[in-house]
Amino acid sequence: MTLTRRDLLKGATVGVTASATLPLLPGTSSAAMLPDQTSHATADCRQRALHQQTPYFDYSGGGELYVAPTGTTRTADYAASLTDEEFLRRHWFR
Amino acid sequence: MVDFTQGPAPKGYFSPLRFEADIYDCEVEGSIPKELNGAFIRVGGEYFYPPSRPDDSPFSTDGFISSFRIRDGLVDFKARWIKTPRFLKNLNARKQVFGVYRNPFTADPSNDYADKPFLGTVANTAPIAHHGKLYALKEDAHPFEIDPNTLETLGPWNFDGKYTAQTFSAHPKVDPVSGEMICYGYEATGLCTDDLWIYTVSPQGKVTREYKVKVPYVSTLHDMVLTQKYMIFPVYGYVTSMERLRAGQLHWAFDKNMPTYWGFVPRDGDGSDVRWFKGPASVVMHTINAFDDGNKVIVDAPISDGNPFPFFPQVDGSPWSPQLARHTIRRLVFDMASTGDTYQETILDPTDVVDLARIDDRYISLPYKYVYSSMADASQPYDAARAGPNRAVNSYFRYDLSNGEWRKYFAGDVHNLQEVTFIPRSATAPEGDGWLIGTASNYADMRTELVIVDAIEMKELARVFLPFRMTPQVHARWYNNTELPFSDEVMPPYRGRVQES
Repeated sequence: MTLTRRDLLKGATVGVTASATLPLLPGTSSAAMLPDQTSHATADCRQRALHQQTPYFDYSGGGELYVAPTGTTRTADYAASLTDEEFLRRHWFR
Repeated sequence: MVDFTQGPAPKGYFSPLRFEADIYDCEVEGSIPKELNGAFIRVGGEYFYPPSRPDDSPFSTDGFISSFRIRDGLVDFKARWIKTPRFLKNLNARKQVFGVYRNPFTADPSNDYADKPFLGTVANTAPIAHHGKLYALKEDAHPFEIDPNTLETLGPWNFDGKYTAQTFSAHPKVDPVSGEMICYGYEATGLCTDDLWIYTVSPQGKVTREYKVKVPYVSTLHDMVLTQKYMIFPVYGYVTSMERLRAGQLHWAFDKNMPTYWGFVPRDGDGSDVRWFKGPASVVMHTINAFDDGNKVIVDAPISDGNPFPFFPQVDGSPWSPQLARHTIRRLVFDMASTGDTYQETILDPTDVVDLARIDDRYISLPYKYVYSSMADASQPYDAARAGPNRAVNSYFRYDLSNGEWRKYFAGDVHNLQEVTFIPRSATAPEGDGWLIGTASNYADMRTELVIVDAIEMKELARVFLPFRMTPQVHARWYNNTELPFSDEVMPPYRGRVQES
């Protein structure tokens, strides 16, 4: 499944657990991005984490999971309220 | 095509910003002290292009500098990318063409700058001003000079060729007595070398002395302390090797079996006079201060017993331990009259603090009283519904070394504070009489706020609101208008057409 910017804003397909199954890049295997498989953790066990206001991929499982705050902006609600056509009309970046 | 959706923070407060900014006459709540005339200058970073590998260290982010210029109670904000050769080369290629954290072997050979680190650095760690010049620092290369008014990058600087180490630490110290800057580079003669080269720079910006030291093992020497007699360097558990780098790994891993060493170099001696003391495993990423006390030397630092950075792996493969990453304020006593190589270490208070501790810089290398830093005060409210479940560092504190008194300032229930800086009220004000300044990340409203706090009462005096969230800093400093040649112009001169009638 291809992740779009709008899907990301809606929070429809990504989250802490869902992200672990995403490919690193469309059409690129995680192994190709990690040349030294013997010494680096694989993408299968990574989780989004936060340390001292620094986001990173946690491979050991010891870090603090990062969950983006909802805030007051409610980007997800806004993105979900628009049709695909209206979203693309307003946000031409895709 | 740029795509951050696969990165560690594709949305939320830490998603990439990627812009530069100017805000003239910022929104202010409260009253900024009229005595403040200078700038609060922050250096940090974020990736302009995604890293080449997802396991790269966040310390590889592209350098970014920002400034809150304050005078007459008003504030102008400016932010710029630090235009390192690496940043420009990436921009020209429209993608990340460099490898992972301080490992040139993971880059395309055309970008392997192992012998010229200034071409591969990101200059993302700290600002320093000395001899009227402003620099952005990262410990893997030379400093990059920055125009203090425009924040444009003026390029790497090697002090007219007199600074011959390949690297320059992010934590030089300026001696308030002599005005000298004490600076140093580790891995000074190339990757993984055990050379620590130390320099003194005169108040006029000239290199006056060079000391060459061999360290017990190659490790991060991120920070140092200074007394009037000694330059002092901690060596602790992070290890590296050429084999490690050639295997494509990040520069550092943590080895809990490595001892901590403290090296003392007499300021009136040379590198061969270094004396090493040895203690149990710890991490001293940042220091607080040090001073001479007769034949003893007192060193204060926020110290952890284990690896504070979860993205640097343990050499034995064990999981990262948040418990061992906790920092406490500790006092170390070294007896210079002894013939031994041990020292006394005391935890002054069990409170878990952020290790970005600061003092009144007029007391660097001298006896002093107050420590300032930040902490996550669990007794204060936190609005997890708005700010998210990640716990925040919500308070600054002042810790009185003479009696153990804590004073705290709480920034808000959706705020995460960054490193604090102390500003003296005047050049002759007593220690601690002045203000604290620093930025807070407002997670709920997605904006950065600058707070200015009375450093004695620990009461907020003013808050400056940016209408957006700003790239997190690593380190920041305040410089007044006698330390840097700040312009009084609000914005660059208008050079467009003028209609007379």
